[in-house]
Amino acid sequence: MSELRNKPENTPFKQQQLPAFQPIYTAKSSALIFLIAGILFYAFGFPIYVVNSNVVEVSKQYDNICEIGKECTFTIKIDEKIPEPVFFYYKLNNFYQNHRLFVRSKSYSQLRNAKKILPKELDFCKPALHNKDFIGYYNESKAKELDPDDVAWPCGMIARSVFNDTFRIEGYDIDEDDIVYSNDKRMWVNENVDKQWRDIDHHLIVWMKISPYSNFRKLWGVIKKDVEKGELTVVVDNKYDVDGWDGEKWIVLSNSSAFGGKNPNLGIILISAGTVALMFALIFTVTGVVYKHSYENEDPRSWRYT
Amino acid sequence: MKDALIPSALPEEKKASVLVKGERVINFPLENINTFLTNSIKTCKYNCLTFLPKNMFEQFSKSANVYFLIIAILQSVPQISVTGGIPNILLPLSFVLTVSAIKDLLEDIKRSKSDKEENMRPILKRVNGQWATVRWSEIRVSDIIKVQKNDFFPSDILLLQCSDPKGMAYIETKNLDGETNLKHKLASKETQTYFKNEASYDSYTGTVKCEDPNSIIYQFNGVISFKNISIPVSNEQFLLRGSSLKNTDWIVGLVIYTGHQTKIMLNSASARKKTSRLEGQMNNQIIYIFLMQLALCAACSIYYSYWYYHNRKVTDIYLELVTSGESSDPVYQFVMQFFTWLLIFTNFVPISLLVTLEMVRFMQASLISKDLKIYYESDDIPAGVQSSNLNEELGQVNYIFSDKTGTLTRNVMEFKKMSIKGMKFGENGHLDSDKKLPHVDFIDPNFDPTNYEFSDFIVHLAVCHTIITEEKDGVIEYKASSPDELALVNAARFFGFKFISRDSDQNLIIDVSGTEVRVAILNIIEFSSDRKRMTVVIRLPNGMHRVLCKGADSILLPRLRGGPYIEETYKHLEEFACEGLRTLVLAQKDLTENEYKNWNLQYIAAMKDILNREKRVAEVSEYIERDLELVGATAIEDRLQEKVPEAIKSLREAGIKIWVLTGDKIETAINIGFSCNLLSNSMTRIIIEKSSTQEVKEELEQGLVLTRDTSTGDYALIISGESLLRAAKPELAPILVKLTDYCRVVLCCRVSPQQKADIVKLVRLSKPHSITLAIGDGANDVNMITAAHVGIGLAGLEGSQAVRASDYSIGQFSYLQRLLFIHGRECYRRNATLICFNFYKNVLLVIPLLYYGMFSAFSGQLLYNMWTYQLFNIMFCAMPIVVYAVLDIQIPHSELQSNPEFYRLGLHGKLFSTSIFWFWVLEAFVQGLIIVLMSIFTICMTSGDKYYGQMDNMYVASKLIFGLVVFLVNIKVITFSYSHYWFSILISLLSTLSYIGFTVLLNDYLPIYTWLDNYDSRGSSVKLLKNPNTYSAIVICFFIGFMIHPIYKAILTIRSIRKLHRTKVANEPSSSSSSSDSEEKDPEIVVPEIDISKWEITPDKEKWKNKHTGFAFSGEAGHAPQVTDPEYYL
Repeated sequence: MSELRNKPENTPFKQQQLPAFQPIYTAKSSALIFLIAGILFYAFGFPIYVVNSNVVEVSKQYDNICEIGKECTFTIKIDEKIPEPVFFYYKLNNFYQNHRLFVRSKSYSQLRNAKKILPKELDFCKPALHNKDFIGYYNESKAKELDPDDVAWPCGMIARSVFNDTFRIEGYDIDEDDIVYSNDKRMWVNENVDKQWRDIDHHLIVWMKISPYSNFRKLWGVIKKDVEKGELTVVVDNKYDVDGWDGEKWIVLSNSSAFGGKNPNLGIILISAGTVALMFALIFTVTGVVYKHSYENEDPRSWRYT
Repeated sequence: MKDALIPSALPEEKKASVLVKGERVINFPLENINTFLTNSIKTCKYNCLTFLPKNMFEQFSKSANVYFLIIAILQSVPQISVTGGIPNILLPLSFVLTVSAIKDLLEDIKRSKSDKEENMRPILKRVNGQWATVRWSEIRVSDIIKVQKNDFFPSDILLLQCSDPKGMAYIETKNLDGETNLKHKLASKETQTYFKNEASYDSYTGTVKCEDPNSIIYQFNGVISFKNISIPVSNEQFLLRGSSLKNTDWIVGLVIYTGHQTKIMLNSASARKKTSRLEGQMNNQIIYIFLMQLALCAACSIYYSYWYYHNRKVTDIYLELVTSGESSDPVYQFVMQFFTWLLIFTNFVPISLLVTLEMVRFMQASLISKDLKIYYESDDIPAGVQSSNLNEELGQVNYIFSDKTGTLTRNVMEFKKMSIKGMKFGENGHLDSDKKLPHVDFIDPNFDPTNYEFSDFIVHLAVCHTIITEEKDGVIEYKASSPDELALVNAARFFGFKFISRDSDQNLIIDVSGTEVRVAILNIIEFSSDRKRMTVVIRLPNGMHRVLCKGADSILLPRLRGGPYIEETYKHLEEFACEGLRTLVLAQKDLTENEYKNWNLQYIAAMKDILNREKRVAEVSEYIERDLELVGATAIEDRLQEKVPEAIKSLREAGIKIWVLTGDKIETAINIGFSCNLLSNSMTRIIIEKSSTQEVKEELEQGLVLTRDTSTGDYALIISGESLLRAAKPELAPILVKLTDYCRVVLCCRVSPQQKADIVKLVRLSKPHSITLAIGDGANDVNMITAAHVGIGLAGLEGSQAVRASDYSIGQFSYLQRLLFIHGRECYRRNATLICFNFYKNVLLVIPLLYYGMFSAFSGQLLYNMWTYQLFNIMFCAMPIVVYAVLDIQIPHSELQSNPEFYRLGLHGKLFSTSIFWFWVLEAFVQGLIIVLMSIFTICMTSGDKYYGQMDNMYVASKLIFGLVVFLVNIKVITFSYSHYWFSILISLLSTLSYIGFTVLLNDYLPIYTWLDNYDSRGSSVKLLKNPNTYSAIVICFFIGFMIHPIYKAILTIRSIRKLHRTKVANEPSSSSSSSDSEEKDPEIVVPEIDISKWEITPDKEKWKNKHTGFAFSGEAGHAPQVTDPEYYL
């Protein structure tokens, strides 16, 4: 045969002879892998845990001590000094902000002040589309004065239910401006404040950033100095009624570490993962030693097809 | 199946009368050229115009595609849509459809190419008074064509004239029925003489009346009329497409049936689409998964309806659940919510699974066809893959049904050994090619052919046969219908007795070292399978009369006079037989002239008795075929293909049962059984060759009782086609199947092509969980190849019927080992993993949405960005698994090839079962839970920012969850891969990065559009990337994704080692686990339990225990009528 037209080419790819890394897990190598993993987890877990436990967080429920519609004053005990910046959060429980119908109830174009707003998009705002739909809900005061048949600005159920309690802390300034990323600020624009039932302000932006939980906290302000140990007097303009749906209102004061607010979970998970890994490293070592003889006779891959 | 067997039991004639209606009348020259079909064949499915509609129709006949289409429609219903009314599932769906369509197109192009090749073959056609070369496709009914020696007939034609003056043409029908004997066809005298002058073809007119096209191969009847005479024509003059002309220089014929109306095309049933067992199992799992999806949808909706019922009033102040125009009925809410969840859970049914699988198989197939180790260099034949969707089926084969001729053997008979006067000659080696004569492969320096002692033997070889010769360019060619005789005569030539020709006086001319010797052939009593012997009466030049007889030892030994060497010769026969050689015993007797004359008178009288000729000739021949003197014995090797015994051994060690199905005789099959190491003398051979149902039943029952007694060693079942016909009837089939279970080897002899298929169907039906593979090379194997789960065609130099009907084609039987052990096993392993993984990744993708439902009152919150959701399967997690499934190597190929143990993985279906599948799904459920809890409780719970204190919003959580899913899925591929290439790691990395890149682009750089769904999530991806906790989460998920696997495997390892340890302590160290494996009985015998104890049958063990002496002879009567015509003796 001089010419072999159909002869396949002898290339590593076509003959499946490409160089490959083919690790074989033996007791030894498995033990090593788990050992390294365990050490790594400990190396990450402990610092995270320690750093996190230094974060101070204080919280207090206030809907049960304050009366709706009135200004209310209460105190929080601060057990240790909280270094600045101290974040001031409000927290709502049992509020399904992440409900599918709630989340979609807004108009992107309106909030961005786009030139053209499709009627279809406004439909998502229903049943809080017109000014008249706002009567009887939170924040109704200014909406009452506008043309009831005009499209509410901003429309939608999210905006309509914006949290409208206000807070003061005696002896401390709460900075309410620095609570939104500059990025977000660009995306939320007031069109004509006269026609709007409410300013598109920072609190609204924070509110409209949907929380993934039904019990969630949102940033209300920042105290840009250390909060000293002792009693803290908080004055609330208590307007937001949560009794209807068995909700709770809290305030939370917390500072933050490099790994965020107070949350020991991550450190605990890492440390326990590390412990599990070390345990398996040990088991593999023991297996390797005890069953050394039988292991050597066995093809280490045998367990793959038994 | 049972129905399928019945028609084959009908006699051919009966079928014919049922099937053939109508009559074809061909006037020639043909007035209207379009009356009949052209000769071009077309097996491709599409053309430019029909491709799109036809292909789309085919694709949407798959239920999965319909499902996704329905989802797309649901997605555009605003009330339930979670994607803002945009049917974005159409993106992956159209991707999937496009990829499949391209694949179909490529395959169809391949088909149309092979059609074209066939249609383009050249043929001589009579045009305007001369022979013009035209293409096969240009031939039409009523054309006159000329076919040259060794060429194939382009259509079914009627033989008008041939180069042989007597009108005899030899054809080979190997491609049609697998028979290797040449058949002769006879041009009718009238046409043969009428067309002597070629010019008469140009002026003739007339008609042919014959049957309408039909599929009955051995039937043709018609009348050809021209010049006021009508000549009846029959099968004798009918040449079929698919057969070829041999030993005849040329023939001229009239085209009768063309193209798809030829008998062979009508016989080739359109191949039904085969799906692999794995795919079948997968389809079941899809249904289960879908049911699970519905159940989850229902559960979520029920919870929501409950929540809704209790909360619709209280939450009014912030969340008006009842919008105008919608019913507040919880049932209505349930229904709406159900569909919403259906949309969210859409991906439980993996949209890309089928297309990924097809793509992967396509690439696997191309690697199979590129494998140099199964490329047959001497014929330039690479492995071919016709239906790549059976790749994984190759890894699970339980039964192999193999054809014999051309598959196991090369169909070359070679004279190998002999026994003369108690001496054995012939060694095992092979002759150098330069010394070699065709059909002789004899080496023995101790043998001296010039020794006078041996001359009787050699003369016997040179004289006792029916071969005729033809001299061509000074070279003498032997024309034999029996390859055995060819080997014998060539052996005589090799020893110096060269058969030159027969003269007109019935003398045989032999060239003995330069001098021509004439031996008068007085009588020939032909070979038949009943007689098992052939006798020639000769007159030697010295005037002596001599009877020469050759045949089966069992027939000749009682006819021997008795002599010194019988015992030794018999021993030699046994030795030959053990090596799988075909043996013949030669005997002779001298007659006096008177004895001969007396006998010849009786013989002539017997020949003249037309009514009882056969019977009387038999009687007469008995008279001289006795008191013979033993001359010797010959052993002919039916050469096997390369490495057949080794391949068979390995395949059997892997636990595959091998059945040989052959059209050949029982003796031949047994011989091959010996030479392939399928049979050995220690085996009891249960031979069933009776032809009545009752007798067959008795033999089967005896066999079954016998096999229960395991002390007598292994059993082999050898069954003839005729008995099989009875044994496969519903009432006997269970016994047969049971018997085959106990036999290590099954050989079926003298089976028709249809029976081959029926046997395969019988096994398929009685062992529904077994996978059958049929391998063959001829058109007679086509039925079997299409009937089996996997059909393999052996590609030879000639004929492609089997290859075209097959799913895979290879050049050598021994390549089957590599095809199964390496490609089959690895494809099974990888595809099983691919399927499980595809479900795993989609469940892992969807399941966080279910868990997240717990935080959002199961309101149907689609956490993910709808585009990233849809790109998951076609971009972020598409490629790594493809690389895995095409290139992963678990065990080095050399080891896979040499160790049959590894094949058991697929044989026992270790990688895919309902429990394994759901283990993968369970893993996804667990990992999904971990992902959600990780993200929800460690990342977004508190602020991740040191200086801003902003809480993460839902979209940050969604990016994290989705990112972790992508990450885990891509890591998972690495964890179950055994081979890591630089590019496979790179692709995993790029896939993961593509998600990050895409999500950053979408959420931070692309302009904001409603349809892009990127307003709320603006800034979330960058925010996530800046959060150090994200990386901690990734590390932990890495641990989960990477460590669950080794931990699980580690537990298995420890368990298996402990088991091994225990068994080692308990037993002898030699008892390996493999032996227990091989004893494992098939759990899937559906045959009803047969209570043998009640039978009062004592099997006659001796009957089947006899030694094998290897007699075999192929040949049939009537092949050389000139030689055997009784007229000559009158």
